[in-house]
Amino acid sequence: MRRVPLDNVKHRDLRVATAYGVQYGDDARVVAVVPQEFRKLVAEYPVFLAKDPRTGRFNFIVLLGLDQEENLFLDGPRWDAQYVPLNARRGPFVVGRASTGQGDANAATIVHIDLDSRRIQQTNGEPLFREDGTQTPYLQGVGSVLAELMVGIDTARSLLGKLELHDLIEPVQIHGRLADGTEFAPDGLYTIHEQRLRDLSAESIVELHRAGYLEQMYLVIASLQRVADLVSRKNRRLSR
Amino acid sequence: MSTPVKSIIVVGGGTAGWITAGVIAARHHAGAEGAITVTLIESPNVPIVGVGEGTWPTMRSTLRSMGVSETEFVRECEVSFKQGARFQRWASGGDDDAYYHPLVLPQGFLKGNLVPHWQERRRDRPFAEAVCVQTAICDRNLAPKQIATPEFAGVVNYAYHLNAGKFAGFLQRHCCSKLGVRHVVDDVTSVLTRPNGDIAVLMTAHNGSIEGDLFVDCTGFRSLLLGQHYGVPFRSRKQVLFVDTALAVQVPYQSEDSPIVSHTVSTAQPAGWIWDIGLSSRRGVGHVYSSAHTSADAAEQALRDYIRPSVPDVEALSVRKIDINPGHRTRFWERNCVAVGLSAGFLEPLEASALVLVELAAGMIAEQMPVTREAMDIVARRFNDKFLYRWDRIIDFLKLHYVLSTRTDNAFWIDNRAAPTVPDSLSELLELWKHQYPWHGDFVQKDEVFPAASYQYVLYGMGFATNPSHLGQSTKERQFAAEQFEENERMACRLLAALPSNRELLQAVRSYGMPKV
Repeated sequence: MRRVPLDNVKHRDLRVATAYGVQYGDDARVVAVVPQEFRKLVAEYPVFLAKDPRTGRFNFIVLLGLDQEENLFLDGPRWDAQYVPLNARRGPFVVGRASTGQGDANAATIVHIDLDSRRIQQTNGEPLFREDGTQTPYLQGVGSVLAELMVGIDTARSLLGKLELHDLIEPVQIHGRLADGTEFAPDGLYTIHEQRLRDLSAESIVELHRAGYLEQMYLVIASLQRVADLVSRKNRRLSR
Repeated sequence: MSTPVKSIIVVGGGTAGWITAGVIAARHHAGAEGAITVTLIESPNVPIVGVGEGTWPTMRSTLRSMGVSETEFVRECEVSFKQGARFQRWASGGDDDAYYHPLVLPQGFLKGNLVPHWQERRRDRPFAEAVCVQTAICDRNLAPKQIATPEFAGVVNYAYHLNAGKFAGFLQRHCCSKLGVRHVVDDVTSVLTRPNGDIAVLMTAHNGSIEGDLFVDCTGFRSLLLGQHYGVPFRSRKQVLFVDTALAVQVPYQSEDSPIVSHTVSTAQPAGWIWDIGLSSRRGVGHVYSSAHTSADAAEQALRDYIRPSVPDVEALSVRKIDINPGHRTRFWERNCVAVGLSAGFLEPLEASALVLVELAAGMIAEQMPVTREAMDIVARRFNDKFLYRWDRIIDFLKLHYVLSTRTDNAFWIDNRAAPTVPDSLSELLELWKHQYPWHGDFVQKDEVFPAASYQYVLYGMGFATNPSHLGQSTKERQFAAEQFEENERMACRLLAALPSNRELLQAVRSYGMPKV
C-alpha cells in the first residue's frame, strides 16, 4: 500500500474505476461498517463484530458471504443492494493526517490516495479534478463518504467501549446447510449478548439509551435474521 | 456446639501470601455480607525473597479465578510468555547436547502412546520435536498466541516469566481493591493460643491484636507460625538434591529488538546449573550449585562467563547470593495454621515447582475451606497426606534430571547417580521404564503434579532407552502413530506461519491489550 496525500497537480490525470469487481478485491467476505449505517444496513445485511487480526481489537462488520472469499452482493460489476456500505464506496481513498513535521497529533485530516489500488487508471473511469483543478462531483461525493466514516469510526469506538465495559460481546457460531448439501460455518464472528444486555441495571440502560447506544445494540441483534437472506442468495446462485 | 470458621488471617506479603489471600477471597466472596473475611498482615521490615520468575500454565487459571485482567498483569509485571524449558548440556555435557520439556502434550496423548513408535521409526528426530509443535515454535522465539486470541487462551499451551517483586505488588492492589482483602502493614510480635493449642490472636507492633479462625503462614524461610511457633520439624532433602546456593543477576537486553526467548533455558554446569529467563524488560539469570562440589568464587566465575557474550561489561553486574536449604516441613497444616510457600519448604528452582505448589495449596485450602473448626482436623490430615505425596513426586522428578546424566566432569554428577541418593520410588519407576513405556497408569493420583508426558519428555530427551516389548505394536496402533506424526507436521506448518514473535506479541499487548473474548 502506497498512501500519499491527494494532490490536484500530481494526480490531475488520474481516473478511478467506480464499478465493482473481483479484480478490485471486492470479493472479501466482510466489510467494516459504522453505527451511523446500522439502520440502513439491517434491512439487507447481518451486522457482527470481528477482530482486527493486527491489533486484536473489535470492529463492526457486515457479513457478505459464507465462504472465505465470497461476496454474495457482488454481481459482475454491480453491488446488488439498496444500500452499499460506506467502506465499499470510498474507492482507493482514505483519510490521513497532514504531515506537519512536528508530531502529527493535531494535524488536520486530509484525503489520501492509495497509489497501489487497482482502481486507479489513466484512461477509463471517473476523473478526480476538472481542468481548473477543482474537484469533480465524483471526488466531492467521496469526500462526504470519508467525512461520514470519520464521524462513524469515533462512534464505533465509543459503542465498542460500552460493549466491553458491560461484557456484552460474545462469540457466535453460525452453521447451516445449503440446498446442494454443502455445509457452511463462517468463523471469527461475535455479536451482542442479548440476555446480559437485558440484565443490565436500570441506570445503565437509561444511560445507554440516552446516548443512542441501546438502539444501535438492538439493531445489531436484530440484523442476525439477515443471515437467512445470505443463505437464500447463495442458494439462488447455486441454482443458476 | 460447632465453631464456624469466619476469619482467615494470612501472614506474609510475598507472592505466596497474596496468591493465597486472593484465591480464598475470590472463591468465598470475601467481604460480602455473611461471608468470610480475609486479612493479610505484611511486615514493613522483611524483604520479599521473590523466588521463581517462572510459572506453570496453571497460573493462567489461578489468575483468572481471581478476576485478574491478563492484559494488566502482562503490562505491570514485566511478563513474557513461557512455553517450557530447554535443557542444555544436561545429558552428555557436549556442545550439541540439548532437549526441550515443552508445555503441550504429545500429539494424541489422551488416545495413545507415541514413545514406542518414535523409538522404532523416528529416532532421527528428537522426541519432543517428533511428537509436538512447541519446540519448533520455541526455536524461532515465536509467541504461544496471537494478539486476537482472547485473554488466558492460547493457540498452544503457555505459562509466564514474571518479575516476582512486581507481581506481589500487582496482586496486592488487585486483592485490596477488587477482592475485599484487608491489608495490615505491621510486624507480628507474638502469638497467643487457646487452651487446645489453636492460635487465637496475633499481637502486632502497632495494630494491636488480630483475631482469626484460620491462620495461613506465608512468612517465607522464617516459617514464623508453623516452624517457629508450632515447631513442626523440617525435613532436609539435601541427601537427594544437592543444590544449596543460588547466585542471581539481572541482565539487560542487548537492544530494544533483541529476541525474547519464550522458554526457560537451563544450562548444566560442573556443580549445578544456570537458569536464563527472559522477561519483557530484562533477563533473569542465576547459577544454582552445590557448595560441597564447588567454591563460591568458581560458581560466580561460571555465571559471569555464561553472561559475558551478551553484555558489554559483565563485571559491572551485581550478583545476589541466596542460601537454599532443600527440604520441607513434615506437616504443613497444624491445628488451625497452614503453611504455604517457602514456609512449607523449598527444593531448588529446577522445573519452577515453587509457585505451582503455592497455587495448588491455595486452591485446596479455598476448595476444602473447613466450615467449622470441627471439620478442620480432617481437612488438615488430608491436606498433609496430599502435599507430602506431592513433595515426594516433585523430588523424584527433579532428581530424574540428574540421575539420567552421563556427565563425569565433576563429582557432583557422579554423586548424584549414587544409589543411596536416589529415592526408592524413583529407582522403581526407572526399572519399570526399562521394560515398558511411561504411561498414565504408572502413577497413583488423578491430579499428579508431573504427568506421564513430562517424564516422557525428560527421559527420551536425555537418551533413556526402553527395551522394545515382545508384544510389539498392532497395525492399528502403527496407523494411529503415523497419523499423529503427520498431524504434528501439518500443525507445525500452520502455526509457524501464523504466530508472531514473542516480542511482537508483547508489544501488541502493550499497545492494544488482549481481547476479553
